[in-house]
Amino acid sequence: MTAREAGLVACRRCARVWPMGQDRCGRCGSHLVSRDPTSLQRVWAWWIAGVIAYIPANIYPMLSTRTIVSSSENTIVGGAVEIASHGSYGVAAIILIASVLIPVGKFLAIAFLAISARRGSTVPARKRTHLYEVVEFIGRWSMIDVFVVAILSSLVQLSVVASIRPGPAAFTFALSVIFTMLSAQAFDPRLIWDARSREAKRTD
Amino acid sequence: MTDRPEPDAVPLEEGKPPLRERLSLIWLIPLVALAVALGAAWRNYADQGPLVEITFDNAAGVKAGETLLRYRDIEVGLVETVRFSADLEKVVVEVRIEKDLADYIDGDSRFWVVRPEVSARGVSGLDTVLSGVYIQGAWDSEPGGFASRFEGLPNAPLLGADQEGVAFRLRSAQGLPAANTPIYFKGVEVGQVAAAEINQDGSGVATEAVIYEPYTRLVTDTTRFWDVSGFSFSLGASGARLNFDSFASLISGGITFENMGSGGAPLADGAVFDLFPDEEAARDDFLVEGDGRSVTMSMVFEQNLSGLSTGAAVELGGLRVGEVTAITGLVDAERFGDEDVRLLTTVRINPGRIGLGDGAGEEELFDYLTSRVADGLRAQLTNASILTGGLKIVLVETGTASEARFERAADPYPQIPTTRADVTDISTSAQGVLQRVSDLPIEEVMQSAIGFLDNATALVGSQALQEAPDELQGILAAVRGVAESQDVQGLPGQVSGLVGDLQEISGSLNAILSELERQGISETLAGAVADLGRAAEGLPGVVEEVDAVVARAGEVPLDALSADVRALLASVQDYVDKPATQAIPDELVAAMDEVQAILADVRGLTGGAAVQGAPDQIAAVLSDLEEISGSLNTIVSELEREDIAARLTATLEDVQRSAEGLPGLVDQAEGILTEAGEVPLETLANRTSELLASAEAILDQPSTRELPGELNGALSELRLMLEELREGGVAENANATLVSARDAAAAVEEATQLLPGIATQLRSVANQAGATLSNYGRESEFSRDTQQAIRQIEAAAAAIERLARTIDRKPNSLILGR
Repeated sequence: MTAREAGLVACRRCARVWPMGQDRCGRCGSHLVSRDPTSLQRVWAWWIAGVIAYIPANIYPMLSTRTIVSSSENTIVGGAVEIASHGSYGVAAIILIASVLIPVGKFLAIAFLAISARRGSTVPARKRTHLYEVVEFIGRWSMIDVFVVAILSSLVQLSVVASIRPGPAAFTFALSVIFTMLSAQAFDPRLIWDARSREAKRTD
Repeated sequence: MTDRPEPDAVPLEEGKPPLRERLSLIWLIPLVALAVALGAAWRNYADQGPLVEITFDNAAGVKAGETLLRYRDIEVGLVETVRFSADLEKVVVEVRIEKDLADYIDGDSRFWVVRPEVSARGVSGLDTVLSGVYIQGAWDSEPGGFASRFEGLPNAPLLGADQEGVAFRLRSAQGLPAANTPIYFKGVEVGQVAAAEINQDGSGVATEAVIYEPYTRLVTDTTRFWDVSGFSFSLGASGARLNFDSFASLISGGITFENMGSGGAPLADGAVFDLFPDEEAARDDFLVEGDGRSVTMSMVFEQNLSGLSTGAAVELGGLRVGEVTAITGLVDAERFGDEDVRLLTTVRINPGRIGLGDGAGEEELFDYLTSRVADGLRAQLTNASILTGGLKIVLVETGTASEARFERAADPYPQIPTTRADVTDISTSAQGVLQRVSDLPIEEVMQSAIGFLDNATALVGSQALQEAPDELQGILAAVRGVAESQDVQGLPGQVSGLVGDLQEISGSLNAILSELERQGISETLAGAVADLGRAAEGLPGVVEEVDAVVARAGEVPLDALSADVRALLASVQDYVDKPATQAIPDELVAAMDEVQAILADVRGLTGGAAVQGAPDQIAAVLSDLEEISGSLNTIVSELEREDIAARLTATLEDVQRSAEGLPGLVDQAEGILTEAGEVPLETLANRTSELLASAEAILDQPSTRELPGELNGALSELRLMLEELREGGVAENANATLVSARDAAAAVEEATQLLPGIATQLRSVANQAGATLSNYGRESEFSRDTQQAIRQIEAAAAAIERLARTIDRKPNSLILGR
């Protein structure tokens, strides 16, 4: 028995339950839909945009450091490797996790959720819901690299001696993170359960 | 759930709405993102310039993604990759070049790596120390199609992207200065040389060099380059020479050049020049090579003498016509018949220098030499410098000592026959000189000198010598005492008084003479002579009168005369008989005594100092006399002038005429005497004999007899006096005096000769004086001026006088100004 089977629809913002057919939440005024028919489309659209943005974010330099003696431009991975080569493995690990592991994991997780919402999955719905919550929560931390670049470039501006500037990757990386967050938000977690009920029905 | 009525089972045919409805607008976002990404990627790709592959031997410091490519010091590209070539021999650098420039990078482009460089001439590429090396590209401004593969230059080229100039080659057999050595012209840097490379056969080195624009016009084919690096010290045929160009070139080296001749073709790309070690060599080369192509020939010398070197002069008639280019030994038993080593010398001779004309070439030179060799021209080794022992070759005429000819076909070069060397072995002579120097008994001389100096020291240190000054002092004191004594000091005064007197006398004499002269003695004399002449004219008359007198005398009664004579003689006798007459001898004796006394006095006088000094005074007198004689001379000349002699001659003629009447007179006198002979002379004779007897009586008196004795005494006195005079050096003095007198006479004679001239000059002076004085006449301008001046002076004097009076009266007016 689900809310939908009960002819009810819950407000996703304030959780008030309304009878099916109610257009707007009488309490908070948000739009009420029992199931968002375009959810998966939006998920995929944002997801693709995020992936597109993520490619140049890794190709182009994230940070361009210029001193009198030398100038260097580092991509995300290159910078992490360089830091690691100087012995700062912790920092390198943070950068790698925040800038590579998490975004890539998010892409994979969202894709998995979207596919499993349509096709079903052997993974229990409860776990998938949990995964969705983790993705939603952790997504914002991906911006840590962008913040580091922003802070560094505003702090280190000794025009002649040394200067750090954000590279083109910083912009696309930020876009990529935003797109993946929007993608994750566009996902309707109730679809997970719909799929489960459909399966249950099929098995009946 | 079961209580609810089940709707009819409707086949679940879920009709899908059309795709257009199902598609959400959200898909625009990834589409836009994709479009943007693709657009960016495309633009990036499209804007990207071509990739150039440059191969370097050494790409030290070149980094991928960092090292820039610059053109005229502006970034035009970036190194993308640095890798090795397939055989690992080279480094391949790939450079992404700006798209706009791709067309200009054609096959002529050059690339090199700019590195910091510190040299004696300064630091270059300093900016690369901090920023790292960069690759410099140079290409022309004509688009020529893109080329993608290049060989990088190992060093910066001489002509960079921003320089224009002409490249040529410098070669040398000795050596070339280091890379980047500047080429100076009169101290200005006008070019540069690259690093030297050794020829393939190792016979020399050559290098690329450039002359920058606009200096390329300074170089023509008459230009000679020489090295001014460091300094050179040469000891050659012309002596020692120390040479350096400038302090800068002393440290960093340099090359300079000069146009030895005028005209000449301008510098062309790829021309080849020789680099000479010094200016002298460059000039020598121009002398030999400069105005025409030189011809190479050879000579074989019998003796293998040391001292001949390449570059030694070949001279003809003292003029340098060529130089030695190579020397080798030569053993050719077939040709010479023995195994001796001969000196094969290769020379080059400039036909232009011999004077065969500008267009003369090989053939003309060979023809000339053939004819000259037939006349006896031979090559000969001779000394170029005695100092250094250097040799040179001279072409000399030897006469036809041996049959030889100019071998035009000799191998490898035409051959000039040679003759025996004329070489002075200076080293042998020098050795001989040094041997003689070393043979000199220097040590013995030194020993003698030391002994001499010892003796001298002993002498100087001896007691006697040190006392000598004291002795000398004593002598000088004594001499001073004598000199200071009153007698000696009074002498000069006396002598000068005496001389003064004499001078007065001579002056008076002079005055008298001049007085005489002034009073016209000569005229008087002339008058006297004229009178004499007139008198002589009257002589005939006189003679006639005498004649008459004699005639009359003949008529005179001589008897009466003889009677008178007789009476006179009787009177004389009476007189002689008188006692007074008898006393005469006594008086004579007394007189003689007095004379004797006088002579004694004279003798005393002559013994005196005054007489001794007389000669000097006499000399003074004589000089006066000289003057007098001069005056006399004037008189004489004056007389001469007035034709005295002619008059005298006339007078004498008159006398002669009158004398012609004398024979008659004599005849008459003779008549008178014959008449006188008839006079009764006997009585007269008797009387005379009586008189004589009386005289005898007088003479018989004792006092008369004493007279000779007295006279004798007087004479002896006189003799004594003379002896004393002789003793007093009177004779010598007199002699000297006579010499002086002779001199004086000679002077008088000279003066006499000069006198007429002086007289005429004096007269002309007198005339001029007279004329001058007449100019100063009363009415002349001069006298007027003078009078005026005198008047002005008078006026001034009066004014001064007035002023003086005023001041005298009122002294304060000076202060008060009134």
